[in-house]
Amino acid sequence: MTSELKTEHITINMGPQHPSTHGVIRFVIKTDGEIIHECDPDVGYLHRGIEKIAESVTWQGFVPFTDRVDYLASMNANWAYCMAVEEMLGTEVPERAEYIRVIAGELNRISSHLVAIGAADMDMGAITPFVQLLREREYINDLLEMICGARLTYNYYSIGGVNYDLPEGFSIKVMGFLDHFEVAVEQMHRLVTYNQIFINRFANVAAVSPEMAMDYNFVGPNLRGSGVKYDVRRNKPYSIYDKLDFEIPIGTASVGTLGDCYDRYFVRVEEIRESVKILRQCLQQIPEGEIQAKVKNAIKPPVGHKYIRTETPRGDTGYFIYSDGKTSPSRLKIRTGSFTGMSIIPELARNIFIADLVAVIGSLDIVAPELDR
Amino acid sequence: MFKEHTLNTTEIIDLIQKNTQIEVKASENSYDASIIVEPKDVLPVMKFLKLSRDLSFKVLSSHTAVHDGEDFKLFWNLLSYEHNLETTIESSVPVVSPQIQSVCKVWKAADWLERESYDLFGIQYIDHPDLRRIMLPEDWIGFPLRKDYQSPEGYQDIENSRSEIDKRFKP
Repeated sequence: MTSELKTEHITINMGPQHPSTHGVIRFVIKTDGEIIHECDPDVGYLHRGIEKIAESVTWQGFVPFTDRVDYLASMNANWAYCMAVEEMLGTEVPERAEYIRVIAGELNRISSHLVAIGAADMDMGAITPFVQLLREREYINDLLEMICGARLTYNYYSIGGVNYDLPEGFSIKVMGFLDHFEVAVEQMHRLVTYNQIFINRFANVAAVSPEMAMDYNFVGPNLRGSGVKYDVRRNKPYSIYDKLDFEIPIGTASVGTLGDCYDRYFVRVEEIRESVKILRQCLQQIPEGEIQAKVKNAIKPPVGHKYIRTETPRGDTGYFIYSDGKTSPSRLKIRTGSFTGMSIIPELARNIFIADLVAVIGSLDIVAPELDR
Repeated sequence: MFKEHTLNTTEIIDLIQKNTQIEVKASENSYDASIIVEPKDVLPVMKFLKLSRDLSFKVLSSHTAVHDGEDFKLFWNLLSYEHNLETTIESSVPVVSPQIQSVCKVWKAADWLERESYDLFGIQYIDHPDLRRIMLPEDWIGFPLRKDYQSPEGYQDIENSRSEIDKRFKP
């Protein structure tokens, strides 16, 4: 009798408005009961044509648009674009500006990772860590507001430097925050990272092997979670990262298989600690001096193409710029970590529970505007 | 794992020509050096670049197109974590018949990147497993990132024209 019982595949929509999809993304899921048979991510709901806009604004005028590419890490997005244009023009950024860039970028990296971790926890049903981590993020937002006046989309970096110098008493405030924050990270560890319920939900789910990670072009914490030790800050150093001392954490399969959701999560937690280390060094070493290099008002980079990669919180972000020597780019392509991370979903989501798909999306740290651009 | 070992573009070109007997040449560009490959040779060259022990470009970092006059220039940015190498492959197809072999079989990351440039440029990838629009709706007409693209007057019930209030206002 039991062998004659058959279940029908049901097609359901997860999203576009779904609390655990981290933005407006739709997943068309064919399920066999609770198990996913096939999953097709439907992206593009937040496609604003930023790459087309780039073709009609000036080189400097595009900086505020990069904020909107990745709103959780606008500083790093600004940085990636500004650095690309500086490389094309051959501009030397003053040393103080480089230090300020690293300080702002690493603060933003911490705040972005806090949201990533908190949101992953909340997807798993733990509301308390999310609220606690968002409180910490508010302190960072206060610090970033001090230096540029904005709390989300900063528009702080300019081509050739940064827009404002650090305000008075900034480094004391950051030092005070870091002292407090290190205790808060420990508290978060006790609350989530070593929590058995959380480990059971994340460990051994959707493991990605190193080969698969490279094949799908995983970047940043997702790639390192699979055990590939590659960080643009270390392997192709830019700015002042070669002068700084920090570790590259990788996934170690501490509780499950290599490259599972827990490894990706844990790499982010460890990266927060490394960012704290970097910040302390920068605040001690920061020199006095200029914050803006001399850049002409009408920028016209020579004809050619340039591909620049920087390490943002969501991994290696590539800006491909094709210039035809005019006052705006002829073509600008932004290759983001969320886009390539998302393309693995059809393969990862096969034969797992619907509830585990939520864990996978949470652990990949996908930000929809960055995915759709 | 990461050796201090960097091959330059000329050495990569030599390796390609020695092993595959395919003519490739270096491009003249003010910034990144790139390797120009004929459209018909793209797939074999890519396969070699990935499988070669000396290069092992296991990562397709980015792929995109550029509308440049009568041609679409196509760029593939490849990375090798093992040897800490980076290179750019360049090819071009005419706008009137933009057809090129898909490299999905070489890198899985190519799937979505090719779908994106099909969506925004209308480039046809031969042997792509699932070539359909990714960013725009299925019934969208035209390819927005082409230079001759005209914005539509509307999409379904949504009008794309300036409102009456907007037209009257003169700052």
